[in-house]
Amino acid sequence: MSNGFENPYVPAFAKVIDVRDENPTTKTFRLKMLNGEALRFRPGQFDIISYFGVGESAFSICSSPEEKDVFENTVRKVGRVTTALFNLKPGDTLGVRGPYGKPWPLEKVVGNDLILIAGGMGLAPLRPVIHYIAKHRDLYGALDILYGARIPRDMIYAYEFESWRNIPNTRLYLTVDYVPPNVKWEHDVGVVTELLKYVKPRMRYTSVFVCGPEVMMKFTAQLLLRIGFYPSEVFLSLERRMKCGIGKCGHCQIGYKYVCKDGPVFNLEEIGLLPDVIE
Amino acid sequence: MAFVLKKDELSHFCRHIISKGYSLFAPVKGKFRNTFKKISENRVEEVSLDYVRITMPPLKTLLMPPREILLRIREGKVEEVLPNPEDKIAMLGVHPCDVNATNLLERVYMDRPKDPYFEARRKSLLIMALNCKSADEYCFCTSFGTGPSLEEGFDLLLTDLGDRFLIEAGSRKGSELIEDFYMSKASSTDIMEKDESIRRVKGMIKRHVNTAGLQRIMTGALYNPIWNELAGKCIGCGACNMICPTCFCFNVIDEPELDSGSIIRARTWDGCLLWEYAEVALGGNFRKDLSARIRQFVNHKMNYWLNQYGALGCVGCGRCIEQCPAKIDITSIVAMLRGELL
Repeated sequence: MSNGFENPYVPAFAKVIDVRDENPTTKTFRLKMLNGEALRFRPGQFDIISYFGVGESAFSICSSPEEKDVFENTVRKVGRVTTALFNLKPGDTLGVRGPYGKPWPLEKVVGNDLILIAGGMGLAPLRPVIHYIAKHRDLYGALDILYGARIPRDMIYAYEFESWRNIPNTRLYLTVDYVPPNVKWEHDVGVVTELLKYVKPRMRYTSVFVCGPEVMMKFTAQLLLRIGFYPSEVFLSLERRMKCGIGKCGHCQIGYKYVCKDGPVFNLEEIGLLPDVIE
Repeated sequence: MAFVLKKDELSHFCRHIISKGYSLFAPVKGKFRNTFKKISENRVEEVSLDYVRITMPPLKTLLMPPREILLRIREGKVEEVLPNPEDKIAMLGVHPCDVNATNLLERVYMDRPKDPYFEARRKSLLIMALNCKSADEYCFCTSFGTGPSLEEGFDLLLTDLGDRFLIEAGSRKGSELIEDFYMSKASSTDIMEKDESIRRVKGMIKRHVNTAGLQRIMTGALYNPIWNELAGKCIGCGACNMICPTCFCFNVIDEPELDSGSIIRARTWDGCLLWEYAEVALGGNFRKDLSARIRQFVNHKMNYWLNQYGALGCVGCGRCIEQCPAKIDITSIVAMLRGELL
């Protein structure tokens, strides 16, 4: 991305062109660079958004990598920056740096079956994978998407579920922790890993991409290994606070790895021996 | 080519550097111990190269200041606030450990994408190092080959020979600086005296870290109970981070600039011993326990650096030992993990 500076800390400006409510505390912002350039990213990469005067935060780029001139970030209101971003309306501008990080290994897993396991907001970095596979369906085997949220209303991208189910050789399984009274729910109730019962993996030929809260990823990873998945074929997208995104500020280090430049996507072989991976 | 500068000509030498357009920084006597200050032409007499230990790492403090403005956002435009490349800075009297620490910081900040703030300051910096003529109980540079003398990484190198300094040039910039400053050429006796002085200082260093196979030992000790024991002593103040010449972490903050109506984005030193360092949204924290934070600090220096930047991240300056209010000693942590200390 060129922003007229060689300075990696200088954000470029982007305009909000649409805002979608995902749930009461989550919105998706559709953005376009003001300099007219595309944010060329690969699924799993992230950008760093500035709300000038409040600060920067890292977000998964959650739109289709096939869309060239617009991109999307889904933002959950959890802190100072996200609360400020929440007030933005179409036409407002914000700062963008990136894309950063190592993407999901989509080239490496060509020919494999894929299982995507997401918890809550963890679906955001996996949505570009789903869009990518939909466009390049012949390159991959079966696609199983397992998605869990706290309650049905929390599910993000629910408006796309039908089109995902229509992708050939693709299944979407949903579960929630809890169904509030008077809410209609035809899917599972329980933790997301229970949805693995619907999947018939061909271990050696199956790759798993996981993203969700740390505790969900921990239990999912342990279970996948117990079932017999290869540690080199289980990939997690980790989250850390980042102040730079380019391996300078130090904050995102886990052992000798930097989440910003060695990740955020790691396979279980890489992170197996690192300390402080799980909170 | 080596030269000899009589000690009573040091002020004259300082004036010469200033006359070449450099801002000169050098140690001066402080209440407690020497400290680096900017030296104006009429105060060159105050320069005192007679010191063993400086509390704040002088080169890190200059190259990545404790607080630095990165950007100014004004009327919808982002302006870089880069150091002026015309501002030439000369640092006189920096010890080998601090010069080597700067070489390590370069591995972090000059790795692509380069940090333009660090790069600009480094390019305009002239380093006139000073070999150590003494050592104290905290020094352990010999364990890392980062002192008490210097082989590279300097523009000029001074060695105290009692009544005079031996001056050696290590770069073109250094040679050019002294080409029109008259000094007599050094003799083989001067060189022998230098070698003898360095040998003497090496003998004064009593503290050591055994680095043989250290990475394997540190990785094997990640779940050793020692980290919990240390957490009972450590108070998590982060002093070790702040005074460490190789600690490079920073935080970034946005603030309104009240007089101009602009917003500034600044960075400030940060440290892995501080509670907030690994905090994430919704109250999460990946190193909530002090034991995990101490383990991170010690392993980063003695283990992870080697994977990340091809060298261990400690230069043996001993600052973290001297300044720790809980008397935690990184050299004895390593010795304990190696089974060399009971």
